[in-house]
Amino acid sequence: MEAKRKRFGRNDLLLVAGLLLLGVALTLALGVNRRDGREVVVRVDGEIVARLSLSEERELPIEIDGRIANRLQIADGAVRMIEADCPDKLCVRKGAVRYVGDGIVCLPHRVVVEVAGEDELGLDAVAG
Amino acid sequence: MKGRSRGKVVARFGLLAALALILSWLESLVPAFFAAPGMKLGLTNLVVLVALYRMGDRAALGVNLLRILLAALLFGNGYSLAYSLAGGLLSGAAMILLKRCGRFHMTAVSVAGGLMHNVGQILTAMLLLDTWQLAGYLPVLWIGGMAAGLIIGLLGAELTRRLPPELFD
Repeated sequence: MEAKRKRFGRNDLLLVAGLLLLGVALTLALGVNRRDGREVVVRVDGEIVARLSLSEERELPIEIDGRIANRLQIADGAVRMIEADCPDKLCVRKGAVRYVGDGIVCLPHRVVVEVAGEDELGLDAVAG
Repeated sequence: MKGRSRGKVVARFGLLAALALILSWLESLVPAFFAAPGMKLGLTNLVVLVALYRMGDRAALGVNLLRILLAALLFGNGYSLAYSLAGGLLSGAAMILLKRCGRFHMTAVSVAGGLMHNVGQILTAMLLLDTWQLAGYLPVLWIGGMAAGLIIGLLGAELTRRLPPELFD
């Protein structure tokens, strides 16, 4: 062990570069079809609790365990979480999202907010 | 191997598991200041790495599992157990396999481990929350996992070099 002074060789570089490339490829594959969303699907614990149009400005309080745990706001064709009573507030910090497939997640409350396009509507209805 | 008694092995194992647990707890105190849920440095992986390179596959896996179970009991819940189990096992398996094939140094092994940890967690979240939507977090967690793995790997390589070999024989 002591004899091995070299700590990062050619193989290591290849492995790390390969993983990095794979990440870039996945990112591109996921981000290729950026389309403005039509509606917002709100799920708590995997169950759909609300479907809202992205073109209609409004706020939605999300109730969990009998209290309002999160608050959503739809404005200018985008949706954002404006309130959360969890300690990290990552969902609030995520900011506004507007593209199909994009979304906001509040892991501690198991809230998933997803932006959907028009065609997803029918698919979701069948799958759900 | 000489002078190795069962008691010594158990004591060392307990020591490492306790160390991993403490690091786990320390990290849970640091508020999440990163862009995605579950993103952190993974200090406990330092202990797992050292165990892997100085004590072998089974010790690394054992320390990791024990730490995950204890951490979930002490400051987690069923959900956090599922997340850390998926992340820990996937990253542990990846690191053991990469180390076994013998072509990579510790740092690269750790990079792959950090990455697979996040991949495991995001897959668990997708399953638990029943949505593909989380794929949007993949890029951040991908790069984040690799970066965290790199830092831990460099630290781990330094640690295994400097820790007295008597500690492990």
